[in-house]
Amino acid sequence: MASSEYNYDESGETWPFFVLAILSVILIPLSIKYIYRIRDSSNPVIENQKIKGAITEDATSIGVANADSIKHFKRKQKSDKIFNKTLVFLILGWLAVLYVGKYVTKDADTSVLFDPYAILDVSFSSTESEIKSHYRKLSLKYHPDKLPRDLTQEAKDKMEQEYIKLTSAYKALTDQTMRENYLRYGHPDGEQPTTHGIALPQFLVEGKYSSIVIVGYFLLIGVLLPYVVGKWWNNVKSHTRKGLRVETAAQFTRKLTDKDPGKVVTPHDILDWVLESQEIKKSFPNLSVGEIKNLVELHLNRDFSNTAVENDKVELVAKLPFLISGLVDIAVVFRVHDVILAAEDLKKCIVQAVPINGRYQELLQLPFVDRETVINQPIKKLGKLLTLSQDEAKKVLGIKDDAQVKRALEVASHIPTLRILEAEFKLPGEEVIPPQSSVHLSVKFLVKSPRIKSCPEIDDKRLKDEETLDYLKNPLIVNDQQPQLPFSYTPFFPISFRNGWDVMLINQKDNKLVEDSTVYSLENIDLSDLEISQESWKEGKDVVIGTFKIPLPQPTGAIGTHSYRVIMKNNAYFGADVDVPAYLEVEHAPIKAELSSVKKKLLDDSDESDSDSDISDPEEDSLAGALAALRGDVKNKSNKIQELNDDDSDNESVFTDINTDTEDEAD
Amino acid sequence: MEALINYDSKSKNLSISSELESELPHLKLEIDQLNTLTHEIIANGADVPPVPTPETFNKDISKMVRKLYEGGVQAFRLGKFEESVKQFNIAIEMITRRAKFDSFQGTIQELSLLLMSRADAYLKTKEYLKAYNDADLLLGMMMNTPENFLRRGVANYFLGNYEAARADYQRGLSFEEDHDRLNAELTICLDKILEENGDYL
Repeated sequence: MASSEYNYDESGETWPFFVLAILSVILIPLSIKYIYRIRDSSNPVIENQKIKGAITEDATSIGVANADSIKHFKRKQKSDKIFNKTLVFLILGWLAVLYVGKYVTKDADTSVLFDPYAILDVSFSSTESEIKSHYRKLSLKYHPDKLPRDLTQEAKDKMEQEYIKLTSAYKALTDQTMRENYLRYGHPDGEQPTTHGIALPQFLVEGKYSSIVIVGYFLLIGVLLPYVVGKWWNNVKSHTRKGLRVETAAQFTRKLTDKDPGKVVTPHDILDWVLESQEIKKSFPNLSVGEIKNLVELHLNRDFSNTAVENDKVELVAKLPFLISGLVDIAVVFRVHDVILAAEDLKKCIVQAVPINGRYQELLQLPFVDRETVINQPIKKLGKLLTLSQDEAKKVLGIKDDAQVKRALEVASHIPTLRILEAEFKLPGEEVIPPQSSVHLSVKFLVKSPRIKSCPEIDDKRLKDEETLDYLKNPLIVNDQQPQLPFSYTPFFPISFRNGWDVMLINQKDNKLVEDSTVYSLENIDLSDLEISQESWKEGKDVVIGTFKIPLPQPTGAIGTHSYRVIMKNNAYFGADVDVPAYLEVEHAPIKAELSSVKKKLLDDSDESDSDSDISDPEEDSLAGALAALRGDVKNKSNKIQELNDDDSDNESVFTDINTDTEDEAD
Repeated sequence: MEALINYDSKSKNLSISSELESELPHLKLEIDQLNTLTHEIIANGADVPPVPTPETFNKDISKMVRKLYEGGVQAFRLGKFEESVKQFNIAIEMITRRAKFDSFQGTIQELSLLLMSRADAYLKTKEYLKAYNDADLLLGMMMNTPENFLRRGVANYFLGNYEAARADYQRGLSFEEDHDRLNAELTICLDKILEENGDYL
């Protein structure tokens, strides 16, 4: 009775659906990704106009000398983003979907499926009497004897078929054996022949086209699959997860391993390291390292005299920040913040096209300035510049045109600086921080335009976070609850990017990045205070308090004060960096009165541990002592020196005393 | 990378060609260091250098260094800062001439004391870059005393690196919270930063 066979999809019922399913699995995610990518490349100027406090000048409005090259580069980037292989694939794919969906699919024949409930139009939970009544009603409609006479033969046959189905459905639900059959085989007549369909039309498999299918299979499995996997693997092998070439990453790692602790790493060193990378060599095979370095120098000095190299220069400059970020990622592992700071400074010099040396970067980053004039006058800071009258500023910046000075000062007053109100470690829901708790650093700040002076008094209550349930679960959500920063003002740099701060947490004891920490990015700040007037700033009622939180990667250590240093480097503007100390005070949690016995025990414990540490204070001569000295266990060390050189300790204090005099004279 | 290293059996020196020397300064430095150590061992006569203990430490040099140090301090007290720098310079030079296998524990103590004093003398003679170098070396040797941060901070301050000076003072304070000098200097420095920025509190 049971038989099974393979059917080819002769009538084209299944394979179009199969094709549609496969296509949609590929096309839908790809399309979404593509659309997101295009949306990302929205126009920075238009974006910035929507954000209060943003700078809306760009290369074109400033009239940068190589604006054409930059535009050319941007256009190329954009068209690369829109008109690429993905687009071709998407168009072809969706056309195929349309074609298959519209012309090839047929309504599938579901006559094979047998569902007595659907046929009788009753629900699963119907009682037998309900089924009976429905059957009666429907059989009146389909019974051969009750059919109207004027029906054609064809219609009559159809009705008859319906009636047979109706009867068997009724029986399936009422008759014992048939019900058994239905439950077991899905059909009241017992087992039905099974068919397995192959979603290929028969003409492809049998007959003259069969060879094509075989070749197709061969190409798919023998060629395409190995090729795709090989290409993917090759890419994995030759690039790191961040997209840096493996050779370059290895070279950076070597540089950091071989770093001479006695030598300071400067932005110049970083530039040399970066220019030696494979990425640069492969992109500019015709240029020597010297020539490439020269191009960077031209860029940093805003020298546009040699128009022949402009396109190369723009392309080279566009690559550098990515490579520098790659170096920073590796330096994070080594926890060397001096390298990271030098790298960040270099990155900033490149995006603003200002020289690495000298102290005038803050003024040189402004539009229309005359370099020679700026570096030959004493004012270095934006804040100082904005205290001057327009005529004085004109002289300082070396700008001839009044309208241009105004625009330059406008840009200067829209460079956001952060006025830190508080940088503290917090444990949500707790007043004190006990040992072994996981805390976060909370930085509270105001956004301050360089034109604004002084600082308002802010009530402590306003610095408290609202302790919602979500906040208690994850205090870091506060970071995402503020508006995104606008695009940076970087007219000389060909790629637009969002402004932001890179934040590092440094342990003051060993002067390294906190273990397992990384460079955190601060991307969301409300900039509306950049437009505030001096009076309402001083009043402080309407100022917006920004918050940035970073988790401390390790649980808090022993009881006592641990000191950290928070460095926030702006990724585009000079004069907007922040460097503040932060102290983590670990104490015993306060103990409630009813737990006094426990409290006593705890106190005893702490006493004990204190005396323990007294005993185990490492001796200078022992290995532990040497290690402690290396760790910077200073007190101990300095005491020892003084003990060893009894009379010298006096001289020491003499020195410091005299030193004070120096200070007083100098000031 | 491959480089040819020559050995001269007469002078017992290793050397590389002068082209390589300019190309690989690191290698040159290492070879020079190796040569110095080799000569020390040969001059010593024994197969292995003596164990560096406080007992085998060359006390004669210590005495001389001490004398020079005291002379420098004397000059400093009398206000002859150039003279005291000179004395400290000679003393440091003497320390660097010590046998390389001498106990480093003793050397580093002498050296750090002299570097501290010389940094102070340089601050007095207004050679801030040199003072900075000495203080930086001390901090590089992990002599993390608040005074050393004070020295580097003051040097940074007078070199115009106000932000760096502030960072130095603050790190110094993290080792001793109530250091009066550091706190005073920090206030001066913060005021200076505000003044530079045309700001006020």
